[in-house]
Amino acid sequence: MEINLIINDTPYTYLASGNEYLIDTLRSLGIMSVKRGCDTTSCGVCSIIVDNKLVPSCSYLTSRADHKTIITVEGIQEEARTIGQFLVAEGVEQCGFCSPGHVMAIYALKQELVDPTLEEVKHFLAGNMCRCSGYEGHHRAIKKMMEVD
Amino acid sequence: MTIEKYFKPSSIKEAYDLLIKEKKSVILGGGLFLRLQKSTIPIAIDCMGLLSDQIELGDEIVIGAMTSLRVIECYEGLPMALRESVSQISGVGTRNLATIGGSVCGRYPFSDINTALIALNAKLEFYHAGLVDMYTYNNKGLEDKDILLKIHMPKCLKSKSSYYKKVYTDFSLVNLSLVDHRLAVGARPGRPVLLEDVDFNKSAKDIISDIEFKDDFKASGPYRRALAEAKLEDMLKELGGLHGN
Repeated sequence: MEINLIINDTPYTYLASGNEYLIDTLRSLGIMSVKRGCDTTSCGVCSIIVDNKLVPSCSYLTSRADHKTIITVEGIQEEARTIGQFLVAEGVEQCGFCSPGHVMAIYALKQELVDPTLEEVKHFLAGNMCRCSGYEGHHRAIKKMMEVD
Repeated sequence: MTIEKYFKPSSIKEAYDLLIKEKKSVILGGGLFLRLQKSTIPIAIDCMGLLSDQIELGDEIVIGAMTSLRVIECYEGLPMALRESVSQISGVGTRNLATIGGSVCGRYPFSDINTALIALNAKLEFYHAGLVDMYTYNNKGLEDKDILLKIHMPKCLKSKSSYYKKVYTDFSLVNLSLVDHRLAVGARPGRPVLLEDVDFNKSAKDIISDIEFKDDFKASGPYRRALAEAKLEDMLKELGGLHGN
């Protein structure tokens, strides 16, 4: 099925199989920030934004994304750099594998929630796993980032 | 899951005709649980854009089958039992994809939202079968394949859902939804059971004494019962319905 996608402001025409998921499509197009983790929607590592909604790309059928707008870390480099600096400053970056997913989730959180409480931040990010840290650094980083914003 | 052919119909009628004609074809909801199955689907029929994803709050509450769980979680005006039931189903990203129609039609025994819908006395509007009671559907399904269009439910005075998960976003070991005087208990681990006309003068222990809880790899039956009793006691206190105990 031929579909049209807008990925990070660039239009693509793509021939997708019925069984193809966005994670594979994006990686085949060279968008390598999208990582494969659990492949069962549990870990959040593959998080991207489709039509302004945070979604796991491992479970989003490419055919369903026809005419949709997709954002990955490559499309928000300025924001990603800022988020990344706050995370690094709190010692969150260890293996780094979960970072693109966390950056996308934090980006979505900033779009969706105004002045969130710590509980709201924890709730929003509950679907993004990090096996290196204990999440305390993430929460400190987000709190400081929100204060600056 | 392997999808051999993805098909986007131009009308619900076209989708229904194909669903009946092709024996193993399925309607896609959020597609999340289908994704985890090992089956091969010859035709996946995607009704996104045809089925409603809107919520209507009138004399009754009407929710389109393609409404995402995240929308339900955040929608002020919906019964708290419904909003609470979905708030810890995996993460926000998953809830943005998962649909209420997919959860209902999956008839998953562990589902938190199905327990809430049973307590809420929901009616399901199917394309061919018309209105079907949620509790009946959850237990028996339908004789023929059909397409869920909308979920209807009456407004309620008080409602609350509660569950116990070992991890914040895990499946529930047990879940409960209390809506006025209706109590549904699910993830026992069997399908939810419904108690009507709950007597709030009884203790939580007595209210659920006849409900069967079983063992599985996640928890034992007695453990589930103890959790359910504690959760129900908290719910009753919060709703102001428990006297004594």
